[in-house]
Formats: sequence, C-alpha cells, structure tokens
Amino acid sequence: MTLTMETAVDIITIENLSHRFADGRFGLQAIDLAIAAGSFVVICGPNGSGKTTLLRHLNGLLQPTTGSVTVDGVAVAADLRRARQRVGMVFQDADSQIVGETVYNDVAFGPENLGLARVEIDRRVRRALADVGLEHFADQSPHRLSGGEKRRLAIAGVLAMGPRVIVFDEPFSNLDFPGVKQVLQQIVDLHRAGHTVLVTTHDIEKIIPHAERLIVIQGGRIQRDGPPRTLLTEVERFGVRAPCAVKWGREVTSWLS
Amino acid sequence: MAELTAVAFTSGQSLLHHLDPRVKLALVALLGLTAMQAAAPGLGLLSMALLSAGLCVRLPFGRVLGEMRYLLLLVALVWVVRGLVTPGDALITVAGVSLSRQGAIEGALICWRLLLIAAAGTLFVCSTRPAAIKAAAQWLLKPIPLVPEKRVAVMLSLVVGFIPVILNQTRETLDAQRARGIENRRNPAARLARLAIPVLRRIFADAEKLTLAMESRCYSEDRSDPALSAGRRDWLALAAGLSLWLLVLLT
Repeated sequence: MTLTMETAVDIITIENLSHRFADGRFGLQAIDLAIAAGSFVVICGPNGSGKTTLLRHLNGLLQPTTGSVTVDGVAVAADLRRARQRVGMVFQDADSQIVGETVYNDVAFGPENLGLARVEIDRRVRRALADVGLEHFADQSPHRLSGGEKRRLAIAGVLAMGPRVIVFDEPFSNLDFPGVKQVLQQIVDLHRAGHTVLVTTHDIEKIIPHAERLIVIQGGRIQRDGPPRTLLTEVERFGVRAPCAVKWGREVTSWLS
Repeated sequence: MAELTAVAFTSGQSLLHHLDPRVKLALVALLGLTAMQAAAPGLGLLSMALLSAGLCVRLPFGRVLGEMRYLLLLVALVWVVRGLVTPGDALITVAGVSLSRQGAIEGALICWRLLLIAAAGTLFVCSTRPAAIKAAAQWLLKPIPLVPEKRVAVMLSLVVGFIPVILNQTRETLDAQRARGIENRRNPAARLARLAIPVLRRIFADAEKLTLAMESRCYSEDRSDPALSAGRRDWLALAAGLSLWLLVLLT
C-alpha cells in the first residue's frame, strides 16, 4: 500500500523509488512519498525493513535503482552537495561519525567542506554548539563525552551546515534514560525552530507523542502512512512494538513530561 | 569511555599555548639541532629552558614520566650499550665484562640529548591543539609538489581521533575473550590472531561508517584553509630560540 499525504509545500518528494542491493535483494520497492516542510515524521519498522536504506537516498549516499528523490525542488542526483547541505543526517553510531579531534573541530568539519570563510565557520560552530548546549566542551576531545552528549555533538555537526531537513537514524539506540531525554528534547526543539524532522526507529514509544505523521515500513515497502493516533493499534502487525499505553487503552505521554 | 594519554593537548594560557604552531615546530627543530651539537654546559642550559617551559605549561611531570617509561628504558639501554662498547678505563667489571668511564660519560650525553628532544616534543604536543598541529603540517607540506596536503591533514586528524576508539574496541574485545577463557590458551600467536580478526573487522566496519558520515557532511578536498597567523610575540620567541642556539654553541 502506498499512501501520500496531501500537503501545500513538500520539501522532499520520492517517486517510484526502488533500490536493489548488489546481491539482488530489494532494499526498497516502489516507494512514493512526500514530506511537508516543517513536519515531524516518524518512520518505523523492524530491523532490515529498509528504513536506513530509505534515509540514505535522501542525501545521495545511495542511488536509486529506479525512481527519483527530489529535495527542495531539485533532484538529489543532480546536485549532491546541495542535497547533503539541505538534508542533515545524524547516524545511529555516534562514535563512528566523529571526525574532529576536539568538539569545535568536529562541528567545523561540515562548514569547512562548504569552503566558508573562517569568520563564518566560527560563527556557525559557536551557534550550533550553543543550540545543543555543548558550548563549554568546545576544546574537549569528543571521545570524552557521554553517549547523549556525543549524539548532541552529531546534531551540532549537522546544524552547522544550515540544513532544512534533519534526519535521525535510530537516535535513541544505546542511550540511558537521561541521554534519551536530552536527545529527545533536542529533536523537539529543532522541530519547533522550524526544521523538518524525520526519525527512523523500531522503538516508537519515546518519540511518537511528538510526531505528526507515522510511516510504517516493512520488506522495503510502505505499509501504513498517516496520523500516529490512527495507526498505533496496528503497528505490531508489522513487527513494531506498540507503546504500553496503547495496549492499556490510554494516551501515549511524552518522555519529557 | 576512552582513557586518554597524559601526552596530549591540555588547554592553558601560557606563552607556549599562544605561540603560532609553525614557530613552535621551528623551535623544536632548532632545539634538536642545538642539543645534537651541545656539550654538558649547553645541555644544562637547554634543560633549564625546557624545565621552565614545562613549569609554565603546567606539564603533569609525574604522569608524563609514567607515559614515557618505555622510552626511559630504551634510553637506559642505550647508556649501558654505549658504556660496554666504548673502550677506556673500567668503571665496573662484572663477570669479565667492563663498563668504561669514557663510555658511561658519552652514553650519558647521548641519553641527555635524546631526553631533551623527547621533552621538547612533549611540550609541543601538550601546548598545541591537534587542529593547530594539523594546520602547521598542512602549511609545511603545501610547497612540496605531488603531496595532497589537505588530504594528508584530514588523514592526520582522523588517525588522532580514532586512536581512542580503536583502543576501546580492542579492550572490549579482549575483555569479551577473557570472559570466555582465552587466557587458558598458551599459544600467544593464536591468542593474537583471535584478537586481531574481530578488532580489524570492527575497525573496517567503523571506517565505512565514518566514510558515510564524512560524505553526508559534504567532504571535499576543496576545503577552507586553517587560520594561522604569526605576530610579534612569535618572532620574539623565534629570536630567543636562535639566541639560545648561539649561546649554547659558544659555551
């Protein structure tokens, strides 16, 4: 089943997207999707369902076998640099995306790649660090940060590039409760600041009270797409655990409340 | 979380912290040259200068000496070998093997020089941000033809950044193998192979993830250049280094 939400301004448009791996398996099949600017979308599905494969097409890390992906009106394949600047991606493993020897240098990596002037790089880095509350760690080694702080550093690295869309791949994996709350607050704040937010997860309980749209993916195909409230009772059919509150007939509450 | 070495940058406000990394590199090179040519009084003078610099930088002397224990062992070995192979008056004789007085003195001078060079390098590393070292290396490599200085600088930065990650992964894998009784195997080669294969597999997997993360942040070799500027203070420091070199040569 392929569903597309009707919206006035779509920042991401995916048409008939399929991706076939080198071994012949399909990672994605016939995906049609439109993501509205400023929306908060959760993409859920079990391991191997195609969530990460889908995300990697949004900034050209993977190329479609068939179909197309358009970001802000321009095909991703036509201008990879633009797509990667517009769609910031925060990966699941925070440790293996650290590039700099200090927190400051790590955040500066993206703006340096954009060839910006030093003054502008410094302005962006300081602002991004302040936005995620890591300004006091600028000179510290990133490897000395806690799990939640590393994830926030990854967010700062993406923010410094000035993206319109921020994509999170399993943002809560391997985090303790305070770490989850820190990262969740960050995601909610980014959405409030006007960013389009896409989160993939197989554990929807932590994020779903804040989402405006839920997309369920399984076997590389979109199975359900709609407002979370209408879909939560169905998700277990597709290998995703429903929040406990739904099983008890209650409303799902935010981890931040 | 990774335990980091004491021989690493520590932020501070000393003169050395504020010097241009290129000037500091030049001073380290100058000190190395001076030490190789100096006799005992000159080495004494250099030692005083380095000790003062170490105090200014607030170098954690105890921890640094601990980190340098293997170098100290090597230096001690150099001294013993020099004493044994240099002919001269016997200072100590054990089982027919003599340590000569001349060899002991020559060995001590060589070891002193080696330790001074190591100390200068340590001071440089402890007072210079890794990014500044990277910037200085990039600046030095720029005039050399066929050397992609920006790529080398990024590689340097990645190596420095990934050492704690690799150490952590090695420790975790080792702990997991100890928990399953690897220590019962006597053959060290087999133990090493059992450790190396999973560690290398994880390193390659992480390298692939890092490549994706770099790509998604628009990695390109056409990057902004690092900011470096040498001012009056840097030229004064260089002049002081040259004066010390002349003074040591004359003593």
